[in-house]
Amino acid sequence: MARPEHLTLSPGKTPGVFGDKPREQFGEKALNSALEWDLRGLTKQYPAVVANDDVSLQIRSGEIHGLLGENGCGKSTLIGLLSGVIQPTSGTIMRNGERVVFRSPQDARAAGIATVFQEFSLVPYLTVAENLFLGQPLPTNAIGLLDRGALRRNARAALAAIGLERRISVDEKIVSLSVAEQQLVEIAKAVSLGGTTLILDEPTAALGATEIDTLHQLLRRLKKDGRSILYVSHRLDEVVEIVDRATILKDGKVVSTAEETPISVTEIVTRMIGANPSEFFHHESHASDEIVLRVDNLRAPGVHSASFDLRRGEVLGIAGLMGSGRTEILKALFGVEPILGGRVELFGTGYRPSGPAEAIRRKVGFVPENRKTDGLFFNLRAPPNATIAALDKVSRAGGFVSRTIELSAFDRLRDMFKFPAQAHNMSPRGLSGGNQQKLVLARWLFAQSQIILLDEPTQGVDVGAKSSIYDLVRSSTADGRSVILVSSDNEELLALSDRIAIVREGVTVEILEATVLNEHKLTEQITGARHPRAAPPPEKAQ
Amino acid sequence: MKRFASSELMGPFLALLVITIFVSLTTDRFLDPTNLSNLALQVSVVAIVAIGTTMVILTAGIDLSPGSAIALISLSLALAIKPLGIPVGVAIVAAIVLGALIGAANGLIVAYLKIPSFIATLAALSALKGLALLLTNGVPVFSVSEGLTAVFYNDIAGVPLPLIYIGVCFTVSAVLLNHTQWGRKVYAVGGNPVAARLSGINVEAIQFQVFALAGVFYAVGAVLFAARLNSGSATYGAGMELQAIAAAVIGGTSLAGGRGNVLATLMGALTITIVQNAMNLNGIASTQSIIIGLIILIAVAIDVWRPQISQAIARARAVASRSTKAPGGPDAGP
Repeated sequence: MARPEHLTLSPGKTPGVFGDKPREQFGEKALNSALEWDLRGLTKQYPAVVANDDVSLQIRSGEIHGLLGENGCGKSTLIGLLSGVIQPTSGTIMRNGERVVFRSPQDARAAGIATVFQEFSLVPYLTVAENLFLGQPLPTNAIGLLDRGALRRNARAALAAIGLERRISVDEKIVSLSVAEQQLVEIAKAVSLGGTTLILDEPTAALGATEIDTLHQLLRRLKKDGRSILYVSHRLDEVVEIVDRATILKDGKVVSTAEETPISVTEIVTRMIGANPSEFFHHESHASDEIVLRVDNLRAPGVHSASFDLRRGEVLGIAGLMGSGRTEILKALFGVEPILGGRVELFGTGYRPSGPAEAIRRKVGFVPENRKTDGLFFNLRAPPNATIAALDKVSRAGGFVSRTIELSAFDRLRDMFKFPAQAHNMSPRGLSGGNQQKLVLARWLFAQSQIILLDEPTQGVDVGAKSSIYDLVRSSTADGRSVILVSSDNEELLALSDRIAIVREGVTVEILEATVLNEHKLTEQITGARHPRAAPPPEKAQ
Repeated sequence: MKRFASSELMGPFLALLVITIFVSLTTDRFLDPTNLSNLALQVSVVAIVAIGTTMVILTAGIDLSPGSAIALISLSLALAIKPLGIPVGVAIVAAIVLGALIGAANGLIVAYLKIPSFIATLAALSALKGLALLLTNGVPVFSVSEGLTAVFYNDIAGVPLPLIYIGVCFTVSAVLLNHTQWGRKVYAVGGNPVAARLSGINVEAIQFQVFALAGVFYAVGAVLFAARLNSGSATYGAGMELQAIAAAVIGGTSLAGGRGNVLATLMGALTITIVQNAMNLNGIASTQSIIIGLIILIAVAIDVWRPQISQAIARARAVASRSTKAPGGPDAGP
């Protein structure tokens, strides 16, 4: 197939060398190509933390370079540095042997860097063609009006240049494309804007198996054309299929350079976690034998088949990648999303909540992932925030809310949750992230929920608040409450859970005792290292 | 008093106070007893209508329909009493039911059919007006009944009835909004509908109920309007929606929802009416709308800049307390 001239790369590159050779153990295939990017000793110091500490990384032209590590290891900072969003405290970036300084994203773009973030930058109600050339001068006709014909021709050429012309129509509106197709358009846009180095941030987070294969095909083709790709993903099973070499970060430092990293899931996991997996492991179990919640073959939007039991006083962890259906299980159990099939029994009777109101009546509580948008009322002070799900408990006869009862109830919560002394006069806006999260948790303890669904309860809270949230979870289970915990933080899952259910692509594939797991085994389970990637789900909810 | 000073009533109250003092100093006849009682009668309709508007705005909605609702209800009331001969009391009850139905229709469209309230009530503004015109081909109904005028002009122990209506309506709505579970849910829905749903609140039901109840207040306003003029007309109430929104906004109700106080709306309504009254007395009625427009702009600016303003106040307080605090002296802070 002829490649349009304007899209081939500068001379001196060696496109087509790496072809579709069989995969090998070590990432040495790119060694003979030119060094394109040389990041030397990049450090990014924030007031409280060093997000990147002396990070060096080399990207060769025509290679797919994996950037790996656990949440919070500094990947995002490094991406920010390379795409000009963040400026380093020290260190240099060399491109083809010359020093470059990125003061803004525009500088990075001018140097050929195109970043495809997880949140797409496409305009939903414009067509593919319009999106591809968004922000660029558009072709015009003799009297200065937009020349749609030329725009569509250009767009088709841009898609054809990377072999997508048959998969995607230039006249389609973005909203009518699947997430995977949007991803492809996003990449096409990055390439047509002159991107010679692509940074892909979790491109497969929302994709199924066949869609991943399509993406991989495209990436191999781009690589063949001599483009280099920095590839960030948590799904190690697909990472080892696509990357040539990989650099691993932990706590802001490089723990395994591209030369040292074997392209094997087990080896990568070992390096990601480090030598001493879990320093602080204080587990106490309050689980009894009594089963309070029985979930059998649950089907719901994003959930294909979930089965597990929850016992009184137990913390059941749910582990899985983003988009694996973890949160969706909680949403179905709380009545936010409909239960489409399967059977759920709560305290021995059938349970199919029509909405959150019924879930709350049945003593289920839900702490959502995003407390700011889904949890808190910033127009109300802290006490009403805590009592909103159980107004009867602060009311006199006839539905009259008593501020006196409410304040004295809040006094007890303040002692228990260690809120600031003035919290009763404050909007949640004035509280720290940790106290905000505790306020949402307090709502369910006040509503006497017996089953508490926690979705990423310690995201974005400091260490102190984290440990007090852990204490609250432990004291709740000691009181006979049960908890289902969804978390991306494996250490947290292991520290809190009695058992951990592994979710992959909407299916609970295994339930393991937390005591037999460690971070290494858990990461392997989540990323599917032990199992070949599951077949695509039979039918997607339309 | 301390609670009042720190509450959201303080700002609108100060604004009202400043304007009242300014107007009484610059306008001779403003403090005449007849003018004051006139003022009380004038404010009653817009104040009561603004209760409904405030409730809708508290849920982060907007209602553009009250003006046309007043046209349709006042005309229906006049027709029911005069040609049909229905007793005044029964007709008034029917008018209030009609208001509730109009509000319920708005609520149905907004809450359950998910049409944005601006669009839904803009449609209602047009449709209700059209219905009113259709009823009598645009011909007003005059001299309805002595019984109807009594509803407005009579008094109880010397207190004009409109003042009593204001008292009852504001007491009921303030208790509902500030002291009941329902009111708490209204604020929650306006503040964060997602969190409200996740807290077990039936968001749609609350939105629907608020619109329906707002319709009741519009109907009360329509009855007073008709009683005051002893007539009904398709032209009555025109522009009332904007005055009511202005009253709510000047009272500090946030158009983003979840923030505001119905008693502050009363102050907002008084502010508007006093400005109108003063300009009428001074014979510069034509610039009324400009002044009201400016007041609305200032009130919204205060709402939008609220965070910066409160920060500035906090800074000023910190500076003041540092400079006044003698070593070892009592802390004057709150």
